[in-house]
Amino acid sequence: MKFLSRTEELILLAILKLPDKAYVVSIQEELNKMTGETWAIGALFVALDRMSRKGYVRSWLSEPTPERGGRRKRLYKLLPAAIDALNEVRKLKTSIWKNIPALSREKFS
Amino acid sequence: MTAPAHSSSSPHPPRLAERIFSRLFPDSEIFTTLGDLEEIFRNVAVEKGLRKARLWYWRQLFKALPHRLIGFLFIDMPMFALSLKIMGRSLRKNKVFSFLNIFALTLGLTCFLLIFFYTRYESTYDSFHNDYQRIYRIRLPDPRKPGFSAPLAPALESGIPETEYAVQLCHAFDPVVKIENQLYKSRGRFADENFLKVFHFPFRHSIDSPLAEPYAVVLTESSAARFFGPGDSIGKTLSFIIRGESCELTVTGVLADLPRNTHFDFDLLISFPTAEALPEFRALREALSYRLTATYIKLHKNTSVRDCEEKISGLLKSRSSGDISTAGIDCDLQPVTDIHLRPDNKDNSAVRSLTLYLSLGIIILIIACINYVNLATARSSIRMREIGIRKTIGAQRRQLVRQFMGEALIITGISFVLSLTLILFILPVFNRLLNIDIGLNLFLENSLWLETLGLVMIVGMASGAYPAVFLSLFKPVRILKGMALVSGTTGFRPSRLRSILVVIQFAVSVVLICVMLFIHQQVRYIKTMDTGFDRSNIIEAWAPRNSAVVKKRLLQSAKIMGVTAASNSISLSGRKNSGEEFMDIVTYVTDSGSPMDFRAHHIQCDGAFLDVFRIPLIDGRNFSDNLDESRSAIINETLARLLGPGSPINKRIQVKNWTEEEDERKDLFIVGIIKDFHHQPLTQTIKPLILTHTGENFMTLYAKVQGEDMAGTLAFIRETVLEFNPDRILPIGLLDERINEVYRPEENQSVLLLVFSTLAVFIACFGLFGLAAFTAERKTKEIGIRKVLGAQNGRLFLMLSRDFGRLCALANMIGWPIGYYFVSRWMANFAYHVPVLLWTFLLAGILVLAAMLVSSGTQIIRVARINPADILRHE
Repeated sequence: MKFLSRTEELILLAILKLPDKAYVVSIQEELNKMTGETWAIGALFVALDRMSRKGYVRSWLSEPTPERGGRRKRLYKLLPAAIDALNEVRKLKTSIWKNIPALSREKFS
Repeated sequence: MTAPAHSSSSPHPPRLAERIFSRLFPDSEIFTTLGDLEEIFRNVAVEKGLRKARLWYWRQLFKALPHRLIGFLFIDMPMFALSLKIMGRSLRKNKVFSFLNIFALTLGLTCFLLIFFYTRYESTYDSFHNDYQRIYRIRLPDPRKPGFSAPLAPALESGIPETEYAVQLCHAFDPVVKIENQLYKSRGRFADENFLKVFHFPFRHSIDSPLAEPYAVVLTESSAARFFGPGDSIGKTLSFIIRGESCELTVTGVLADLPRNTHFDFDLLISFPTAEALPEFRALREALSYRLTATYIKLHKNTSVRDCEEKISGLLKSRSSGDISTAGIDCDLQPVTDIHLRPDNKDNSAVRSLTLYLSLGIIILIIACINYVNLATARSSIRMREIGIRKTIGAQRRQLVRQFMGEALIITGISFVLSLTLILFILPVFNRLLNIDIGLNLFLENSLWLETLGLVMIVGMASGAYPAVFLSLFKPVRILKGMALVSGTTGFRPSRLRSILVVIQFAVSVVLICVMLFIHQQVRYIKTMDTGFDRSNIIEAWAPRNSAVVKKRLLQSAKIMGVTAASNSISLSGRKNSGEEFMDIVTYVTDSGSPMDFRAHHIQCDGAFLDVFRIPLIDGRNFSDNLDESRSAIINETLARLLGPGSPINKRIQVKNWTEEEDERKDLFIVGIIKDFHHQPLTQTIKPLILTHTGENFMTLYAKVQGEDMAGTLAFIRETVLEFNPDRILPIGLLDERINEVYRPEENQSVLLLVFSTLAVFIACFGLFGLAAFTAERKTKEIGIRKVLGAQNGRLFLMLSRDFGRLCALANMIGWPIGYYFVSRWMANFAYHVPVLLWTFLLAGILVLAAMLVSSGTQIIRVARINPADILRHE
């Protein structure tokens, strides 16, 4: 089985944190907050598109909202496959990191 | 309902970009995407301003383009392969045309890309620091108010919760470094311990927290090599002399050399506690803190800049003493990336010249695109048959459009690759010329390549659109019957469009040449204009100490005809420091009525000043070095005129020095009036000036010397000055050169315009050459008949070039007024400028006409000299 990429993992987690209001802009804001870096909007479009084709997320259109010139939002929510994939990644990471002692720079300088 | 009010008050994304988006991606999904973009656009607008937000929106469009267009081309793979093959054939068949096309586009793209990279480079200074978005410099509008002299940084760290770090960097008057009796110039600064945590300058070697202790110094790699030679320099010592005080410093760290794209320019950093340990410097630092110390602040994540600014202003108000008005001490935070282009609040000139360069690049690119359009439509007759056959066997118009657009895109693509290769070779030279450091890594970072590719595709589309639409319009029956070329049959007049485009190209060339000629004249004018004082053979030397002794010693030399000392440079250090706030307040106490206030520049000097600079007195007397002149003042004509009618001689004025914080006035009596001279660059009109006399405290010496053996005299003066100013490295040089240095930006602009206007004309001539070849070819038969009937070669030449002459005249008609507009706008920067004369415009016109004649002439002559028998024997 192929594991989620880091980007995919972060995006899925961002959607998880935003129940019922996950769309591109809010996801980007959440990611910026989570990582402290500015995410390019284009990268999100591509990743979200790919993940909906893989069956990780489902999307639907919202009612028109006034603050965006009366245009609809495409909202996203996670599908069971995404939860499985996230759990998989988590299990993998914890099992790997468990056996690694705290790292310090000194030994490697 | 609040919705309509909301949408009308908040900014709207660029409508044109929106429309292009929905055209490019015509599926239903685009509406939600546009909504997303609009939302982010609003966020950006709130955060960074509307202009940045618009730019951001357009950049999204450029980034989306390549993806879309490549899809558009490859959607129909077999057809695409076929049109590639056909394009290859037509390129090969017409080598001259293909070469002209590709070469002109390559030239235009190279030019544009170089400028694009340059502007990009200039506007991304200091963006290599980690979290650069959160680093700001604190900018105080009027730093001379009291309360600012104490260091700000510690107060910020304790008093403003948003602060992650606040650090200060203190100027140290370019101190001298002394190692084993060898003096070195340095650009030393005092820096806080955390300075290198905020700014990302990587260490080569260092001990832990290298700037924490007093007497510690961090060098850059190249200064370490300069001082100590190769090898590890940690722990070595150097002595360091600042304003006469000296101390021993220990090297605690070595940084990699600073990259070019930062506004910092230090080559050694001294730990801040050292500055506290130097008593004399400490006093100076406290007195002048506002001008010496820059305070930088790094905010925590997700903090509001505006809140922080308010809090800092509040802090400043609470620190300043109560009796002073706190009205004007609102501070603002300047993003660190902004400092390079806007060094202070008012100076916008760097941004303006970048815009100028960028628009020049775009103009050249447009000229190159026009070439493509012209050549492609001119060549249409050759492709007629192909199009006719394609149409009869069922090609749809869309397919043809796609094919021709594809061709344009591929030709632009080829030119793009070629120009990138060219840039690879040009970049080293370009970097050296402009003293910058652009690498292709700039191109790879920040997805700039995607934007560039998008831009290139726009160029391709812009050049391909008209030919594609035009060529696909032909009616197959007419073509195959051989009659499509008769104008009017399709409603289009491509020849007229071509003429219009040629006129545009050459009108732009005329404008560029006009502007270039005027800037050139103006630069020469300001360099040779009579500034009202004698500046030939005058050497300017800094001699902050013992100037009286140095002066006496210099006067003993036979080569030196006169020496004078003054408090500051006669050219008032160029364009900086020339604003209102650097002028003294002169109060004129009239016999009757209330006193009047004026702003005036102020130079302190000795009795020889007027003689050395040959500035004539109009009224009254000069200073005498033998009298007590502490209450005398000489004013210039401009100030005398302001003071009103009646002789101001022996009248009383009060002067408040601009550097003084307290309201301390000095009573002076006017003893003389001098003729006006330009104590400021010629961008300014002559401002009021007062001269006062002091025996001591001079900074600058001026020596009028004999013309011969300038180098020897310079060396002599340098030696003498250094003898009485030990442990210093002082600037010394010809006054004339120093003054001309001020006009360097104009000179650079003039060179740049020369290059660009030449290139623009060159590219336009390429297109014209192609057109002329085409016209000549079309008219060979006509010429053959005319020749048979007895026409002379000369007459034929006239007949054929008449059209181009007409176009040239039209181009000039359009170009002159536009050129005049730009020239007069540029000239408005100068208070004194050359008259805008007609002959310059005529010269520009003649130059363009000559270029046109040369490029089209060869073709015309070739046809005019042809043997009619060769052409006509086929029929």
